[in-house]
Amino acid sequence: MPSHLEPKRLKKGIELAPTPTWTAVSPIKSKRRFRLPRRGSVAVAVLVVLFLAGFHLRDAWSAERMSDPDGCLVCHAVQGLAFRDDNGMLRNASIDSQHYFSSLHGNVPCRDCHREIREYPHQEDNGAVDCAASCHLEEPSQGVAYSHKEVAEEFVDSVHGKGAVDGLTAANRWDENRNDHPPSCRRCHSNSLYIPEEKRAQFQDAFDHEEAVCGNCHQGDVWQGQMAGHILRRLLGARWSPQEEVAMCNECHRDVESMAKVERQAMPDGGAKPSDAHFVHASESFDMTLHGRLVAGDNAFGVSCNDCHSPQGFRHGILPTEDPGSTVHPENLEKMCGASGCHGYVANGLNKKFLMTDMHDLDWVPGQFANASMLELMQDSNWTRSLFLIIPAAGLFLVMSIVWTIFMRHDRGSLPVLGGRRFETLFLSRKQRPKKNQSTTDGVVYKRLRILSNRRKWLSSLNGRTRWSRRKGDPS
Amino acid sequence: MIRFKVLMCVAILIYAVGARAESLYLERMASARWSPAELADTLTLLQQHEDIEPVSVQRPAPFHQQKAPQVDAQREFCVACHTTLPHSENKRLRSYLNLHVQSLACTSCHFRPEEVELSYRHWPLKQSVAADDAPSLIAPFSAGVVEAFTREQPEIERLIGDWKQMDIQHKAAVHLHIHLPLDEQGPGCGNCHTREEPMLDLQALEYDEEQIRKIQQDRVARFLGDESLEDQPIRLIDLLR
Repeated sequence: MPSHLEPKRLKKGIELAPTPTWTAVSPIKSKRRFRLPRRGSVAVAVLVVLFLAGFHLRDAWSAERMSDPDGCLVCHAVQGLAFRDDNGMLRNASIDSQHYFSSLHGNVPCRDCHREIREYPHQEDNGAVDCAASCHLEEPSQGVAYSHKEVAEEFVDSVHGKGAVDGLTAANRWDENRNDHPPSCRRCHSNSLYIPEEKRAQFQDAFDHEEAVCGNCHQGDVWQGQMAGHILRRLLGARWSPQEEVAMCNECHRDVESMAKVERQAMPDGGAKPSDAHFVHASESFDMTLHGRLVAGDNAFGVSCNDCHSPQGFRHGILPTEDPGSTVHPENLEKMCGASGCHGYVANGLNKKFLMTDMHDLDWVPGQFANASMLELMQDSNWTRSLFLIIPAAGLFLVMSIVWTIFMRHDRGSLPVLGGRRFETLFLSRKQRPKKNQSTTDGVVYKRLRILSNRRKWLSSLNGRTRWSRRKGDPS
Repeated sequence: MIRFKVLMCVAILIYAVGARAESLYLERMASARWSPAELADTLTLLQQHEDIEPVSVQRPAPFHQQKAPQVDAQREFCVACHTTLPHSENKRLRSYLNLHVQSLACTSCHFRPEEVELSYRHWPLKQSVAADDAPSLIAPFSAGVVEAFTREQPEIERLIGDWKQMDIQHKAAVHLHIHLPLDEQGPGCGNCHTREEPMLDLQALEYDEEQIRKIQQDRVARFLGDESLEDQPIRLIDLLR
């Protein structure tokens, strides 16, 4: 606004401070159409490009991540590398490399497990695997060499401890191909996918959570790439559902013929003892319990074998029931069954009998017991146990019945003196029996009454002053 | 009498496969003659032979997930007795030789008459399937006729079925007729896994350049085919160099 047109602020003719002048708030456009970009923005653009390229390169590098430094997959990834050995067993050396790299051992180099293999043709024993050996991987939380040693130790001390932990080769799978062979590590475990297909959605959900919630504090690639993956895997992937656990145990324990051959560990001397029907049919009797039925019904509250037999540690330490360290030892049942989320009420002294429930009760099993003798089954039955109470009680009853029949038989019938006759007449509408019969059948009481009345008569005849004799008109 | 029966069998074979045109292998089969020593060897072989039933070990399952071998070759005649894993004696080579069953007919390596030029082409094992999907093997052809048979041809099926009922003399004669025209020893690795005059024209067989490079410059085949290394174990570190 031109200054000469600027209005004066006058108050009573005195000029006051000028009003503020208007100024433009938007920049005036330059007439030049093209301007060189500033150095700063060029630098930013370069950085952005490098940053994006970095992402791309990182993806490219990670895609090339290979854990085959020994070059084993040069041959073993080829399809059709196989022969049939002297037993007729197909020996397939072709490994699905895609599956391997996505598996639990996907970043373990082959020779971390197959240590002695250095040349071809391989000696069969050189490929032997020891599951308890430590490998070159670092366990992320502590940075020490990773190993299954602790699990293996727990396993070796358990009832399954005769199964092999080391010396596992492709060739001796043949020897293990029988159900009467003690279970080795590989009997239950194989190199499964790191993220199982059926748990992918669950992992996806958890990873979202990991970025949004855990990521508030735990930031950076190390956490998100290593720790979160590792921890989620431990939390989600490594947990078997009750259904999976029971199915795994049933692989062997369902086979009653093989179970009948098992030599079990006797306590406390640790010697061998033959398997009994209780053990042989354990899988079938479990199915009949509520625990088993929930598992069969695909219910998340189902209770697996390990939930009772090895709930702690690495869940491999199943001990004989008679072992004081066993979670199913009678002394430990209160603690085990009363664990949080299960049957906490057993802590109450009034509920102690709950712990006596037999979770493998043969009486519940409707199956055929081809392998168990009748005597064995009877010994194991609660019906048999209850006979120890029932037989003496029944015997006592029998003896007392005989005694009563012989010595007290004449006492039977209702007692008129106590109102029994009146009860029969009024309430049961029975006709009164003739007195003659009564006198004979009613027994001692009537006899006594008769004696009493006779005595009265006799007394009255003595003094002649009874009311009765007066009323009747005694001749005397 | 035995001679007559054998000739009948071979005649059936010739009729079954060669009726369309003359197959060189069938001609040689029919005209095969053997010495008493060869007959004695064959009889001994058959007497000592024990059938090994294929076993599948369900538990414990293989620790690593495996790739199953392709089974297209099951349609081939030889496979009826020799199975799809025919090589088992040479510890060093058996698995590698068994690899080839997935893509080559047995006669590609084991029928190699010296005086005849054979060409190698794709041989569809099943006619009814659309050409692109049809399982096929590379097989030798002479004068446009394939030198291989499928076991699904009715006469071959009958011959395979009759084999179990034959007496040993009869079996020996049929065995000699079938095997005398063949070489027990196939060509060495270097015949194909080389860039200099390879036995198979891989370009004509429609392999792409990358596949041809991999086959012809295969490092493992070069080591395995090196006769000077035959007796000594191959160090894996050398393989990678």
